Parts: sequence; C-alpha cells; structure tokens
Amino acid sequence: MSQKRAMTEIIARLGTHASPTLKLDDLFVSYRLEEAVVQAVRSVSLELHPGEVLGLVGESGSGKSTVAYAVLGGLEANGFISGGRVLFEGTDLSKLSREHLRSLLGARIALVPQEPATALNPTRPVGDQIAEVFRTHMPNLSSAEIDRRVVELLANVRLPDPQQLGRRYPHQLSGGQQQRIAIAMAFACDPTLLIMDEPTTGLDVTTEARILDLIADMAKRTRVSVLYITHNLGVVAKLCSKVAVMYSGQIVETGNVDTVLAEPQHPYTAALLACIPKIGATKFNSRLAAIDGSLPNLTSVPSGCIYASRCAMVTDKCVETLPPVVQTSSGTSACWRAHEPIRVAPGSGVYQRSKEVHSGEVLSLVDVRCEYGASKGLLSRLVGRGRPLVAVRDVSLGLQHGETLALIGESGSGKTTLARAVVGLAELTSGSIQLHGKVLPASVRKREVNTKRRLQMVFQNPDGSLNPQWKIGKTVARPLVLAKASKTTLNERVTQLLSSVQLQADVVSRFPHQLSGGQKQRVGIARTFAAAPEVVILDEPLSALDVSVQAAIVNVLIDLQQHTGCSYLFISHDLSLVLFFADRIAVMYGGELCEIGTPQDILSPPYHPYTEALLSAIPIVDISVRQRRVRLNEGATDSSGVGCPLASRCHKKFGSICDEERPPQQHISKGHKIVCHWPIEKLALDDPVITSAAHGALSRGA
Amino acid sequence: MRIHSLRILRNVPGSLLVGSIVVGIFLLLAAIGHWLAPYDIEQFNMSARLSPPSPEHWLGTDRYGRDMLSRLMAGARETMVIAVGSVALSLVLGLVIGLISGYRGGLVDGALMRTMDIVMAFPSLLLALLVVAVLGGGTLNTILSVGIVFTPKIARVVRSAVLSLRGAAFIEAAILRGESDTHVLFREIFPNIFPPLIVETCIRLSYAVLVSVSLSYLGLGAQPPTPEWGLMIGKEKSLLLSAPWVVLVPAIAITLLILGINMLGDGLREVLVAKKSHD
Repeated sequence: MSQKRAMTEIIARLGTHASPTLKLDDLFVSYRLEEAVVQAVRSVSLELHPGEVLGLVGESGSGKSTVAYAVLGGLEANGFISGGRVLFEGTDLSKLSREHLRSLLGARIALVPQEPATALNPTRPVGDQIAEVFRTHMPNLSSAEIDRRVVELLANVRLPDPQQLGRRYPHQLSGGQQQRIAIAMAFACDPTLLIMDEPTTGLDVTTEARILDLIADMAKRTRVSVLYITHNLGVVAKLCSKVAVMYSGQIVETGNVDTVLAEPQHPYTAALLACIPKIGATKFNSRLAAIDGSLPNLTSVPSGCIYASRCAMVTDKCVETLPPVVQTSSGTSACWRAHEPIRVAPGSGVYQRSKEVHSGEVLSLVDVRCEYGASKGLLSRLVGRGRPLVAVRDVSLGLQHGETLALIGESGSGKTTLARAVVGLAELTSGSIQLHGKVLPASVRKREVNTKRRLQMVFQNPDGSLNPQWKIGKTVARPLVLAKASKTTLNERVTQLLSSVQLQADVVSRFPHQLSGGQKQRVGIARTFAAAPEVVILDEPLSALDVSVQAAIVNVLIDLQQHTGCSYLFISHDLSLVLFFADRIAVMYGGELCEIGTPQDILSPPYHPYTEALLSAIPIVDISVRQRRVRLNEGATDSSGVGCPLASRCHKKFGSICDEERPPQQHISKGHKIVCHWPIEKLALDDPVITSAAHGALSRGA
Repeated sequence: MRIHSLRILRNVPGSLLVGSIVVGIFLLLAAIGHWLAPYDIEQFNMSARLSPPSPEHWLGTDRYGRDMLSRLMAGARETMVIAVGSVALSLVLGLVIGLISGYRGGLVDGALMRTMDIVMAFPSLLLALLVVAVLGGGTLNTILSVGIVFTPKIARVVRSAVLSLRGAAFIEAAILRGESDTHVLFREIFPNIFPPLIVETCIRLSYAVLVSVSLSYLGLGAQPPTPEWGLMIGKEKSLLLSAPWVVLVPAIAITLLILGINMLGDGLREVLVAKKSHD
C-alpha cells in the first residue's frame, strides 16, 4: 500500500517536473477604496518549478504580499483578482470553490506567516496545533500515527527534545522556535507549494541565519516549490535560486539570483542594490546612492514605465509607452533600455574627517548599570520580588568629539536601554554618565535645560516621534523657540534645517499623517538638529524604513555630522550598515560589552565568538563575498552575572570557566578590546569570516 | 486640514446628523424658548384646566391651565443648563485630575485615582442625592452634585488616554529638549486626547440629563413653579391615566433629548475614533 503510494508520488513528481507548480499568468489584483479602484498588482507573470526557491522581493507598497495572498485566496474583503490566472499545477485557483480551495490550503499549498506569535493559538500546546493539520487533511490517520508524525516533524525542524517540546505553549518558546513550529506545520502534509511571507523579518540576525539554513535544507529535501516574499535582498542572496523584483505593483526584473544581483538588467534593481552598503565600503571612500522621489499614486497608473519618474536613465519613450518585457540571460527585464549598461544616479561627496575628530571625549559612560524591577518600595522589599533584571551590566564607553560610535546587538542586548540611560530616560542603577567630564544627574528631569539640549535623540519609529496634532513647521521650530531664537530669523532657520534633511520648505504647513515614513524621519532629524546638539543618540532610526529611504537618511546623517561636528551614538542591529557608517563599533550581548573596535578590527580576527557569529549571519547581497559558517547554539542568555552571558549559546565555549567566572577584558591594540576567556593568541588563529572570492580577506583592504 | 474636514463632512454618519439636529433644536429652545413660548408659563387659566391638545393649546394644559407647549419650551433651558453646567464642571475637574494623574504617575496617581474610585463606588443618583441633601436643592447645587459625580469618569478616560501617550516618542522628545511639564501636558498631550474626550463628554451629557431630571422628579432638584421636565412628571404623575399629555409631553421630551445626545455621541465616535485609527 505504502509502496504504491510512493510510486504514485514519484510518478506525480516526474509528471509535474516539466510543468510549473505555480504559474501566474498576467495577474491583476485591485482594491476597492472609497474614492477609486486601485490596481495594486498589474500584469504579473511568474513561473515556479518544483524544487525552486523564488524570492519575490520589493519595498513596502510593491504589491509582493498582495501577490501571495491572491494565490492563497486570502485577499482583504475589498481586494479582488481583476484579471489573469493563478494556476496551481494546472488548475486555476481563483475559479475553485471555497471548499475545494480549503482542502488544498495547508495540505498541498502551505503558508509560513511573518509573525508566528500571532499565527499560533496561544491557548493550545504547539504539538496539538500541528496534529490539527493532520486531523484536518488526513482524517484516516490513527492518533498514534499522528503523534509519531508530529514528533518527527519537530525533530525535522531541529527543535530540541521534540517529545517534550510539543506539549509546550507558544509563549514558552522563543521567537525562533515559534517560527520553527510554523515551518513544521507548513511541511506537515508534504506541500508542493510553500508561500513564505517574510518569515525571518522579526527575528535577530543570528536566529534568522539558522532559520534560513533550515528552510534551505527542508526545501532541498522535499523538493517543494517556495515563493519567498521579502524586502531583504541579502536574504534572497542567501536562500533563493531565482528572484523576481517588484516595484509598485509590477515585476520589473526576473532571473537567476546570481545573475540579477551581480549584473542587474533593470535600473530599479540596480538602484536598489546601490542603496545597500557593500562589505568593505565606508563613508570615507563611498556614498550610498539613494533613489530620489517616491512611489507613484496608483489611483491613476501612468501610461509609461512605472519607474520612469525616479529612473536615472529615463527617456521620453519611457514616460509615454509601457516598456516591453525583454529576455535577458537568465530571465526578463521590463525596460526600454534593458540591454544598455545600467546607470545609477551617482552619490557624490564622501565624508571628510574633520581635524577636531578624536580631540577629546565628549561623552563618557563609566560602569553604567541599569536594572529593571528593582523596586525601592518598603512593601515590595518585605515581599521580596526576587532578583531584578539587569539590562545593562557595568558598561564603560567613551564617545570622542565628532565620532560615530555604533552600539550593535540583538534584541535584549541592552543597547537601547544604555542609550536611554545616556539621555536620562532609563533609570541608572549605578555608574555615571559624564558630559565633558562633568557627571550628569541620572534623570532627565534633574538635568539643566542647556544640558538636555546638548544631548538629543532620534527615535526609531518615525510615526510616533512627531506630535500628530502639530504642523511640521511648529515641530521643527519648537527647539528654536525654546532656545529663544529671534522671531525674524525663525522661519529662515526652519527652512535651512528642512533643506539640510532634503525636505522642501512647503512641508511646514503639513501634518505628520500627510508625510511618508522617510519624510517623517527627516523631520525628526531636523527637529533634533534644531536644538544644536553635541551628541545625538540615533536609536535604530533606519530599521522602520525601506532600503532606498535608509540610504537617503544615512546620507543626510553623514552630511549633518560633517557640517555640525556633532558626535553620534548609533544604535543598530544591522552590522553591514554599521560597518559602513561607524568610526568605532561596540558589540553588546546580554547587557554586556563583548568587543569594541574600529570596523576593520571587527571585520578581522581575533573575533569575540559573538562577533564571529554576527558576521557570519549578516545577509550580504554581494554574491562574490563568502561567509564562513558560524552558528550560535540554541539557548538562553545567562543573565545571572556569574559567568559570561553568552556561555550557553557560545559555539566555541572555552570551558566550565565560562559559566563560573566573568570573562576578562583583553586589549588587542589601541582601542580594540575583546571580553572573552579565550586567549587572544588562540582567537587570532581563526580564519576571517567574510572573504571576497576575488581578493581574499576583505578586512585589511578597507 | 481644510480638505480633510470637508471630506469628513461628505461622509457624515446618519446618527451624527440626526443627533446634532435634535440636540440643536433643544439647545435653541434652551436659548430662546422663553421668547418663543406662545403663552406666559406661569399664567393660571382655571377655565382651561387639563384641556387636551387643541388648536389653542397644541400640547394641552396642566392642572392650573398653564400651556404645556410653553412650559416645555421654557423647561428646556432648565434641563440644558443643569446638564451642560454639570458636564462642564466635571470636564474641567476630570481633565485636570486625569492629566496630572496620568502624566505624573506614582504616588500622586495612586492618591488621586483611589479618591476617584471611592466617588465611583456609589451609584451616581445616590451620590447626587447625598450631595443635594447636604447642600440643599436648587439649580446651582444640582449642577455641583452631578458635576462631582461625573468627575471620576472623565478623569479615568483622560488618564488612560494620557497613559497611552506618555511613552510616545514625541513626548520623550519634548522632555529631552527641556520642555516644562505644563507645556508637555497642555501643548503636547492635550490636543491628542480630544477624540476620546469629546465622545465621553457626550455620553456624560445624556447621563447628566437623566440624573438631573431624576433629582427633580424626586423633588430634590428644581423647585416649583420652575418648568423643569422631571419636576413636571413628578408632580403630575397621578394624572397619567386621566390627563396623560401632562406627564407624557415632558417624558417624551426627555427621551428625545437623551436619544439625540446618544446618537450625536455615537456619530462623533465613528468620525473621530475611526478617523484616528485610519491615519
């Protein structure tokens, strides 16, 4: 019986090999809005063959998720397929009855959602939720057989102790483990088509790297076709074999990942790649090329090329007539000038180090410790709430005049708490924060107005950082008014500030909700600089923005530092950006400093084991770059403060000393410091993690 | 902004339209009902006692022959003054308490909110009765008592709105650039708590009408010969079977007013809160 099934499966696989698993044929998807019908996806044609992993990549608003949900029949109530066909193994999914479609979903077609935390039912054990998939789609299975398969699946997605783990509830698992459960569920009934909607976007890089390994492995083993939706070209480079680039509802380019990323045939793909800093590039030797302009309004789709208004190679023909889909070496490109050499609007002006740099410490952090849950109340002391959570443990750092110091680490590394302690928004348990050698009061409320002014912050989420009831002009002018700027020069200063962040003066009369995310972030930066700060804390100011907008903001920040000579404390989790932007990098883990040094120090051995894992995990777009595989173990951060916080996750744990003793600070060279039990001579023997296929080790050359 | 409000006007929900018309009529009556009234409200007319609705007296007359329509129109002022006055009082008190409580947090918050909890623990009518019993009846005292009773409810709404804003980045940005607490409270936070506040105010307004007419009905609010609606029902309830118009006319007026205010509140909620979540 089972032999026969295996045979039919093999025959089915052989049969489908020639024909695609999923074929989108001139697909149009529209949304009905109050005023108009918006064509969110236009003329999308794609073929996905068995065993292929296709990256559908685009920025927000490109329509990539709409395509995925059109395939799944899960469009929002006001969305509908307004043309074309969605062919799954030859049958048009949009013509199927709801029952028929439902029998396919979860069985032959599976989805891995972006946020597993919301996709899993919080009230049921995860194993039970996987079993549910079998009960729905394979009602003939006995419960013993279902249990066996659930455990097998959990083992397949490399979860530790699958028997036990299946009985846990979602909240008892980490984000990475939850995503593994979601992946296990998707693979439960051996689907032939898997749709993944940014499954690693919410995860830390080291976790992301491990999940990507898993997906690649599972896809290879089962020969499932994967449609992988993402905004991250680095992830595409790591995982996918084919790629389709979407812009504003249309596919502009398709092809093999290696070809498209190395030699893009569409100006948009090329521009997108130019927005991402190359490994080895720095602000001193290059400038990111941001894409000017913004997404077109889709209520009236232009007759010509959708990208024409932002393209560096635009001609009259591009504006007037829709470009043809041209065959390229490995795919297609929708461009009138597809076979010409691609030109990107060049970025101009690199950062010039001013003479004042490194001429003394502006900001000094001495043994800074921040604890949460340490209540001083009499009652809680009597009740004994237990150990407080140490968010930052005795960190000392110095920020030089005109310098950019990056704090990098995963969520929970304490980097944001540290930054908030600097400006006085997070409670300082012990240690001190000094401005020009003068100890500041811990709380912002106790600091002098002039001290507050000198320490400013740019916030992560541009939506929340502007008062929604205030016009932009008022927002930017307010720090000037507070500093008693004269009324006559006020408007002039506001215009000047707005132009320094590349905004037109006419935004002053607008409200925040009338601006895009990138524009809001620019306003936030203009307001910050209106206070004429000496130190600016940048709290992940780019992580909520699209790549093309990120590049523009990075340029703005570099220019502002060039002109004002201020110092940046740059909080980030994006190592590739930090390597481009920072003068020095401090790597944090579990509230402690692991390593600090220049980008060159960080890029080359000796490495702190955590830095090594971070470097290995960065999704790098440049396919000529090789990354040595280093993966941290699954485990929890040790927050007891007895040993090294990384001890249980470290891939090269030195010994039991890591659990028992605090790691020593070891100075390698001036300014380069590693906090680890491993002797530096041993760590120095490591091979470089990132190497260029062409030039060998990249680290020294930069 | 102008374009924005025009677009809202085009999509006005029906409840908002009907509600504002009804409430508008009653407000108009409260303002100029005295002059519009066809008869003197205190003029006894013993020959026309308890006459049913007729061309001379559209809504009939009461036991002293006073014109019901005139008394109804004039009574609108009494009811509206008490309702609006008490809500205004609770709004001012609740706003200050809620803003301080939510923004300051800690001990101040604890003390203020526990006091509010104590006030809220009593049923509103019972508490209003208590206040009136201590202070005595009359329009001003009714306003005072209902105002105090409603303060905790407004304070809670304001506090929760402030709490949700307190951690917002734009508030932190204001603190970081050295703004004073008053600036943060009244310039940054206050404009942003408007939508929930307006909706809550409307809900309170309809309750205020109800509590104030209940007080008068029980004889503790307005005193005769004031043409207050609750008083009119309370005094003449024995006539419900023999001359129903005397009781039903003010009762229907109360019902209409409360329905109108509720519709207005629902409509405003739809426009303000829905709009907020859209943006």
